[in-house]
Amino acid sequence: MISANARAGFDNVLKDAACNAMVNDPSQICELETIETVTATSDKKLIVLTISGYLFRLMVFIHFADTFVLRQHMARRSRENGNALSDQEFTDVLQERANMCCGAMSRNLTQVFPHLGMSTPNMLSSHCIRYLPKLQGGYVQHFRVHVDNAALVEMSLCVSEYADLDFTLEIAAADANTGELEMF
Amino acid sequence: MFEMALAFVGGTALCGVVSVWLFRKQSLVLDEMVSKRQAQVTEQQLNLELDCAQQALEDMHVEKVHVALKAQVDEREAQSQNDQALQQMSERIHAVSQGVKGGSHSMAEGVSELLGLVKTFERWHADMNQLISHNREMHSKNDDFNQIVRQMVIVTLNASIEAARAGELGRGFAVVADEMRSLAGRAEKLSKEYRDSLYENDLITTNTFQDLQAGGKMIIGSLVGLDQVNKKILESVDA
Repeated sequence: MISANARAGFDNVLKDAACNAMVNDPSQICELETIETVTATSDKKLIVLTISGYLFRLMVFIHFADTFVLRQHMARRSRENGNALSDQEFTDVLQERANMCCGAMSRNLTQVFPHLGMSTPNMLSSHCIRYLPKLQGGYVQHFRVHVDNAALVEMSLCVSEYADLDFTLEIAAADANTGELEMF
Repeated sequence: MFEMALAFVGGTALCGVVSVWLFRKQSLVLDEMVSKRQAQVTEQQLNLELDCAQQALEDMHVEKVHVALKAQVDEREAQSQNDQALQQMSERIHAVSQGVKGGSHSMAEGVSELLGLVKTFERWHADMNQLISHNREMHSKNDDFNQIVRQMVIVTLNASIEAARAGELGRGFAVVADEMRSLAGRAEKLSKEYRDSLYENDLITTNTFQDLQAGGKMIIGSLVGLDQVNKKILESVDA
């Protein structure tokens, strides 16, 4: 069983990490809106990462569509001249941001769970999310990420626990030097 | 008479005075004799006490020397016991230190062997990558199959149209075309179901693969941490 405190802890860790990973500069306002579900469509893809510990397994899914707004946003951080990214560069940048997000989550969670490991990101079809219940997660939550009031991506959090989880977590200050594809 | 009385009284008085004087003198002599005697006695007593005191002092001195000697002996004995205890403690510390060093070296060897798990995890990673590639191939083949099936549906529809155009002669052919279209429809449905199963398979496979990968990194991280702690123990024992 995952207690209400633990669920809030997981949510806060994701929100903090996602906002730090998705914004291009500190002046941008990032918000995560809790949503009921994420709809699978053929124009979307998924990036999935896993954080594993002895007591739980946590999966983060980033749902994205190849839109002009998202490409521009990703290009702004990667390219100073704002030129458009190629398809490969676009997916690489997104996977890098996903990696940053999960790396920050892992660092915060080690305050409570000292031994954690993180996977590398994988890309899947959006239709895979329909089978999320097969993973038998004890806690599932969906979010929409807004940066400066523009909806960029959707995120899903799925935690499978192997013992009762109950903890309270203080979010550590973000480290500006993290990023790119970290080799954990 | 009066003179005789007076003489008598005077004589008596004089005798009295002389007696008193003699008495006093005698008393004085006696007193002096007593005093002298007393003084002698006192002197003797004092001498006696002095002798006793000297004796006591000598006894005390002897006792003091005796106590000092005993203290020296006790101190030497205590020193010897302390030295023995220190020696024993030093030997024990050395033995424990050797034990800790031995244990630490064994642990370092064990950790080093366990870190070889990295190769096992790399093998799993390669195997899982193969599985994910295989999944992609299955998707691709299913997409090809689905395309063929959709073509078949179109072809059977065309066949039904041509059979109808042929009229009575085309009736048999129309039946075959309808049956083919039904089969193509079922094949298309199965292809979609198979595609959905592949999506489910992708999620479960990727989830398993990532859990293995993350779990492996967690184990390696823990082993590295253990190795560092072990090295610190060795350093502090060597110091």
